[in-house]
Amino acid sequence: MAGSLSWVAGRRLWGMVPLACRSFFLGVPRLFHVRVTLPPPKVIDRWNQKRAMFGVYDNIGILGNFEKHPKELIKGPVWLRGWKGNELQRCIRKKRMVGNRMFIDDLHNLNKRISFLYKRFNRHGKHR
Amino acid sequence: MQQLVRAGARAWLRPRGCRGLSALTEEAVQSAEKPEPLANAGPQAPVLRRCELPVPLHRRPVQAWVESLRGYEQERVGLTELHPDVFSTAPRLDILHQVAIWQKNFKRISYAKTKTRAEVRGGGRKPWQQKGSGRARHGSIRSPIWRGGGVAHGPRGPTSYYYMLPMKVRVQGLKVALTVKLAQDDLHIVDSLELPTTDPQYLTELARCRRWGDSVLFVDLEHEDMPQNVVAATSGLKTFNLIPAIGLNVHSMLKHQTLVLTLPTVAFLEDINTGKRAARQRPTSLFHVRYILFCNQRGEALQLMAVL
Repeated sequence: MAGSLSWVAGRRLWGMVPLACRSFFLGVPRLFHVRVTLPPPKVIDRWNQKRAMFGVYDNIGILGNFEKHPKELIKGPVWLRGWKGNELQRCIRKKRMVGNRMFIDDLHNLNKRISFLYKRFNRHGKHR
Repeated sequence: MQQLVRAGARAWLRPRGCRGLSALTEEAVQSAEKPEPLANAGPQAPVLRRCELPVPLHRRPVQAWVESLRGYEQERVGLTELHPDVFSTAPRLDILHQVAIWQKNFKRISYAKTKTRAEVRGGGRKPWQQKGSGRARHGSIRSPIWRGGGVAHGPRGPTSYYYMLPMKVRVQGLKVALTVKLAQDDLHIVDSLELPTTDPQYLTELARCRRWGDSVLFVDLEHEDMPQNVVAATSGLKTFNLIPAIGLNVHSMLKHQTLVLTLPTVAFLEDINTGKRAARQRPTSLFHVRYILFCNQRGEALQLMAVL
């Protein structure tokens, strides 16, 4: 690279070298700012209530005479509690369970997504 | 110390189905039978507990000291036997890892979501005509290659990472965790969780005295029966936590350096882990049938052994 640009005489002309064949040691424009100092360290409390009590009651089934299942402990959207699926399955389940109370725009987007994913999974690619 | 050993040996003197203390104590009982006068005024009788559940013939129960939280110096208040299938199984670190990762992930729901080009506001019209303008051809201003456009393959909607390990794997994970804690001297058995004071400082001093470590997990049997002093003391401390026996799990056992169980909790855990409920075993093999017969009929035990 240096050999090909040897015809550029003088240090002034190094600034006119195009960005693509520029070496890092020519300098970086000040717009590409990188910090030179470390940020202040993030203080994480490893023993707050949530972290200290994580995982308690996960074995409530096997230790509690099977009155409750650990999937009943999961907090989240109704259509995802104790269930796993790929994106199309999740969209269909959401539409079945909460579709009647969604906003109209969100429901429209969900329907578009379902039809797109159906065509994608069943008509394109290796796995049909 | 000798009184303790002899008292324990005397309690176990009658032959039963389960194996009792080690051969050394039995020899000590047989050698010295004279009664010794009590040297100290008022030492309490040692707390002795044996395994109620049948122990496999080829294994012996593991033993552990019973301690007390009532005084700084009250270690070795008694002796307890622990079932080997629960407290002395094979140290399966792979099962521990599986169960710990399961606990971390099965509750996880990720709420990351990005808008695709169909969901971003706008972008229905073709920005300029196909040919003639000199610019690259485009169909919408919200395609992924545009600034402000949708994300092509981003995270889509709340995603759940739920899965369940087989029940026996989870049970085995508990057993392995208890085994590892006992083997590494991080398990302490206590007759009950009664403290003399409500002061959290007492607990920290006790842990420092007995070299328990930075974090201790206290496990009592029932939520309602926990003594008020322990509840008040542990609620003031971050690294000393109190849970009922139902809340025991591999992640908490690995997070806390020391585990303190009460005697009723130990009985509960042994019952769960070797009883009929968790494993749901039925005596299908001949060996199992033979073993059960041996335990039930004590009078004819020797005869059966000879026959089979």
